[in-house]
Amino acid sequence: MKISSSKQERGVLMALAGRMDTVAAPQFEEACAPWLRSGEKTIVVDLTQLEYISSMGLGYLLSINKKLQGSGGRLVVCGLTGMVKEVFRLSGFNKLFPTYDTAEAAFQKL
Amino acid sequence: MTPSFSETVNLVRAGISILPVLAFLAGLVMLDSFKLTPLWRVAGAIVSGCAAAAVSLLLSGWWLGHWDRPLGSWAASPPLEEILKAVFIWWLVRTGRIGFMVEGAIYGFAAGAGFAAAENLVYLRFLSGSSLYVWILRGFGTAVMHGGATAIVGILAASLAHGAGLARAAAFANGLVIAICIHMFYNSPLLPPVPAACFVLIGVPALMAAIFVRSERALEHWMGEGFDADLELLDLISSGRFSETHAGQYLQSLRDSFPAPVVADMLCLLQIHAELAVRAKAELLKREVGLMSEPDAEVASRLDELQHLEENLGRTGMLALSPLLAGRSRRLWQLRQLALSQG
Repeated sequence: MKISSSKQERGVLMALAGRMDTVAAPQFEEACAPWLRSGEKTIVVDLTQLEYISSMGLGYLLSINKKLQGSGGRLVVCGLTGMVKEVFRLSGFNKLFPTYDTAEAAFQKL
Repeated sequence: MTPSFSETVNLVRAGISILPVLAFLAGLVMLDSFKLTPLWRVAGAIVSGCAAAAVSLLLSGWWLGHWDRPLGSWAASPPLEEILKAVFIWWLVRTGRIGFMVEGAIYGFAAGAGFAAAENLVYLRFLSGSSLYVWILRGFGTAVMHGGATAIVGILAASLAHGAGLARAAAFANGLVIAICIHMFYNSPLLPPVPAACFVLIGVPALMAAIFVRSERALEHWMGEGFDADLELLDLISSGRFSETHAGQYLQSLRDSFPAPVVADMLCLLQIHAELAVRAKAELLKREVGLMSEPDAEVASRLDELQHLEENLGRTGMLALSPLLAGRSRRLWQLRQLALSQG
């Protein structure tokens, strides 16, 4: 899985690409750690390029969201497509996180 | 040091009694165009046959010492020998390592060949004074009969390898009964040795040829149908239309009984399984044209992920998913075939 992150005006944008499987999912937490330490309150996770996500990946998204909520922030998801969209729909996770079509739309609503 | 005349004769006897059945086995392995039977497992079947022969000789010795045998050895030994030879075949079927009849035939014949080879080597010590004629009959007749009889057990067990447990056990038992009958008939005084050997030398190749043709047709049919179904499932999942299907609605209904992440993993498992199934079938197609794949890191990671998902779902989750994963044993078989290609 490839992860890129950048600081935006209203938060942090993290783009995930590839497969967020059992082995790769912990990388997401590692990538978020510096931003959490620096006190960022909002992370927008762009999943447009993500091809696969299992419950392990969902678990890490929840975990990061919980940490952000603890400091008054939140995690936002955008770019749900294909299999990832199906997983969110089936598991009901699309109701746990605010979801947007694009990162731009997400930042506009924040 | 030059071997003595008697040592040379013994070597010739050993060669005649062992080589024909091993050559026949080598021919069967080469004729398997999809290369479903890895050599190390064929070797395992041969070793299991040798072990069966050792156990059989020990038990027969005990039997001879303590029991009266009213039926005579021609009727008494076949049930014991056929059961012992078939143990390895039963294990292969039970653990999903046999998917098609051609595999049952090859592994069965290999177990029988191992048995015959070990038995002939032991007899070589006790029948050292016998004529070459005896060893020709043992090599071309008895040894091939041993291979053919256990091959029948393997073929029948494989024919219902993907059926329910009871049907599978019944098919195995039928094969065993047929093998015992053939073995008894071969041994019986009703059939003189030369016609018996001729019967075996004509019957076993004819049976094998028929089974190979039938099994390969079945494999090609299964690959064609399965490939289309796997690709269709992948397309539905990747296009986000899976929820609209009956299978998707069934998964949604499981949210009442399972935590949401578990249901998510069920979809993940369906996807990974379909991906691996496509790879497994592609692998078989490559083998058919003589191409062997190198281990692939992507396939290895998918197999690991599949294992993690199965552990996450547990027995109950897998049971709930079973309507969407038809043919559990053939599913297991094709994943094993793929894992074999990974070394």
